[in-house]
Amino acid sequence: MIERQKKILQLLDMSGERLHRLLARLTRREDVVGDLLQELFIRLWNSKTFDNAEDPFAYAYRAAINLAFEWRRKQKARCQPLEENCPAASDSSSALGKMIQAEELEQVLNATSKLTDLARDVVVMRYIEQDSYEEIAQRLGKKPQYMRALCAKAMARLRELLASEKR
Amino acid sequence: MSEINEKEIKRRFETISKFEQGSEVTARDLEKVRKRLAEQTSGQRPGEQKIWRIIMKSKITKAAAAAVIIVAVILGLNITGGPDIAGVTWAEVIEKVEQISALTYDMTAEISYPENKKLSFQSENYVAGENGCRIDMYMNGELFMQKYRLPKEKVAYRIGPKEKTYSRFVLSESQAETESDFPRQWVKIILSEDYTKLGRGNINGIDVEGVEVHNSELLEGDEGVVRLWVDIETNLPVRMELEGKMMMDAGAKRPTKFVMDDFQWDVELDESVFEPNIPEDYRLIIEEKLDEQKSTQVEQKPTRLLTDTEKDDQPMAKEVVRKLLQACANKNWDEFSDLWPGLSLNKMQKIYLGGLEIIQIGEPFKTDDSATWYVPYQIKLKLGEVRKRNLRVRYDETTKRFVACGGL
Repeated sequence: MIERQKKILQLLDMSGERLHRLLARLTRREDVVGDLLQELFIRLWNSKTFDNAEDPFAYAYRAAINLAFEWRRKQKARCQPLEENCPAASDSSSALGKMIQAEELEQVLNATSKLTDLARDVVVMRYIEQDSYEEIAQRLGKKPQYMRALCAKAMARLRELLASEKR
Repeated sequence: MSEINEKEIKRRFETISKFEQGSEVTARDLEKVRKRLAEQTSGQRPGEQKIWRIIMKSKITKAAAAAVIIVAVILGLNITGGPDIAGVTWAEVIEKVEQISALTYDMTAEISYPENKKLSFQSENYVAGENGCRIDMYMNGELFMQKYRLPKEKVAYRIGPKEKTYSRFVLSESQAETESDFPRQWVKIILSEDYTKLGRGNINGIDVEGVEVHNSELLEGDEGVVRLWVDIETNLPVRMELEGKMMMDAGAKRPTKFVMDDFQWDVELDESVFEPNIPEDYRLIIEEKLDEQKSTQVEQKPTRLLTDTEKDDQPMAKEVVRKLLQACANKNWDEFSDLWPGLSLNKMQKIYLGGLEIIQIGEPFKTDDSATWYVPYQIKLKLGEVRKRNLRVRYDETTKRFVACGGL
């Protein structure tokens, strides 16, 4: 247990900021990120399987993605975008533009939550965290080519999901 | 709204990826986590404390709680309270997986060879009842085989993208009805065995509870362990593992590990997932009807009258079938091999046939002048399927006895 505690505190020091940023990007809610980060570390604290994780950061990273999408699923009320922190889109100078952009971002995140867990994680790592296929493969213990193929399929599925939502 | 193409989706992701939260907010939130973890270390878990405080307020509950603690101390149990109170309802797991109409999962198989050499492949699996199932298999990151099983069309495909080849197999009615849904079969088998609870764990942020079975039926006599991890919130499996030394090739036992994970239970799978879409330049290398289809066709042919000698042989043909099915019922695979020379059942076939129940064995008949006899039988497999077919039996001149040769 003491080993686990050390490992978690080290993880918090080394990667807490990155995990915080990831949760913020996936929830787009400043007011919930802190709570989710606490929840994430408490889960790791109580997790026996975390002890055996070869790469604690990779484990926590996936757990954070899962937690954020779990939150999204449970969320009934619409998310309030972090407007002031979002970079402005070309047409987002107006209030309407901002609303449209926020809606678009929510749509793509909600569609991502409908992918399989693995595909969802790969999409987040590739397109939101902008990791290379090699990094993703290493983190997930799979082959880069497989990650590439999975990403392509996930993208096709996202197009379908977003198109059906549009109809 | 702009057209939703790949470029547009990537643009939206890019917008999300550019988000950076203020360093003050991050520092504040990280500090809160540190405090919370410090509370954990000192044993003060606010949530738990609150629950215990509420429970201990009531006099009646206080007495009951005291009694539980005493019993727990005597029995050496560990009461952790709080979130550990709710757990997996194991009886509900099978019921829940049975209700699911479609699922996807990943499977990794790893076989170890001497000198630290390993053979591993991964597969993505799609299962959707009567719409079919599909397996995409990868080795070294490359797609090397795709399998489709389409019960509605009563056909199965095996496609080799590297060789640009494919095989097409026509399925019989009962083959089309047979489930090839390993996760559900595994769950049923594991939970029907004498399992040991492993307690709580966490897999990729999901709180799970596990069970394990040593030398499970799934290992078919080999040594090893099978584990099942179930989401405590949904009662649905999250991960299944099979680890042991298993007979793989040329009689050698190899350390082998199978892992099924990344389950998506009850997903919506578009019909297009089950369309093989074989490119025109792919070469058809095998096109065949499977054994059972042949025997079904034979059944439709008129039976012919038996000669007096054949009438004498009829009980022996029937007896071979009875012994063969009984061998499956008793999982006596040596006896099975003796009665069906040349047929080597794989692990999944043994799991499928092992423990079956014989419902009926009919009178052997012949349709032509060949040495083949057809013996009608009806069995109930352990996983519930009732199978009604004709088993093919022939007289083997070399060994001077009847042996089975098809139709199971």
